[in-house]
Amino acid sequence: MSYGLSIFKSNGNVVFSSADIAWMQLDKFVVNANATVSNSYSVASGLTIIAQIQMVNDSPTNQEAYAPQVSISGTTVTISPFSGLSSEQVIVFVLAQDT
Amino acid sequence: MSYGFSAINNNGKLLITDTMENLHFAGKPTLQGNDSASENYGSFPEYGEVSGLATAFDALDGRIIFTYTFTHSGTPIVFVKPTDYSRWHAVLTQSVSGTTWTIKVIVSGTSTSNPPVLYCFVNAENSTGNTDNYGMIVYKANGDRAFDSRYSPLAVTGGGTIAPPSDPTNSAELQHKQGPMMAHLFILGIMQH
Repeated sequence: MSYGLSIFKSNGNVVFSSADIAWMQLDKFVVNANATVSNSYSVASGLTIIAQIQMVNDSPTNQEAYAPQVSISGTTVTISPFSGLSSEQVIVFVLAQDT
Repeated sequence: MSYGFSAINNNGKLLITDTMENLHFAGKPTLQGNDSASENYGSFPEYGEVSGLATAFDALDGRIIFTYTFTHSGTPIVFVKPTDYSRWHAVLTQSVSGTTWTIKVIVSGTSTSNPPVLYCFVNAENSTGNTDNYGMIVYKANGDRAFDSRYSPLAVTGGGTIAPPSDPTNSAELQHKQGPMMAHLFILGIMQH
């Protein structure tokens, strides 16, 4: 390459370069069952924010179990139960990408 | 910016910065077993008894839940690399006891011979154990590592849009594979150097 950034491992292999694309991790947190959590990430202003939620507990065998809904407005991520429904405990990963 | 560090990729997009954390490869979880001995849900009797629903929804082809463990002090983001791309895959649950994570992955079908391979990524600050003094580390203002080239930073080479299946209980019909297939494409786009 004639310009840009390349980072090498000690064995000489490229580990990262300006030809790559990266998702940044803004945050990770647990939202308890039926809870609502809202966090803002001003550092990610202008970036695309996504939130991945991961269920923690096995679903019950005798009834439905609901993941909470995720809403993103600007740089604010809100995790909350769907209207009229309960929600299970989840791990939330908030990621950002410059798109 | 008036201080700190940022790297921009060839398309002018942010690649590394001292204000946000890149993800780094932490390892592959260990397969512990599956639940093949229990009910595989090859049918859906409640739907099968209802006129009009039997054809549409009573065509299940089973599911297997594979259980993996992974020991790490960080909170890993789990990516699935299917061994059998004709089946849908999804991370079902992710829980932790101490520093041992238990990850359950649900796969359609009844075969236990093709468990997927999982890849875990964590932030740099929770990546430890490498004493190599070669490479580059970027620190945040609070002293945490935002980027550490010794731990194989996550690089994304492609992506796609995922649409949820219209009938998540059935992977036997083509239109129902749209979501998982796109998920596979997305996962294939993840590169760890």
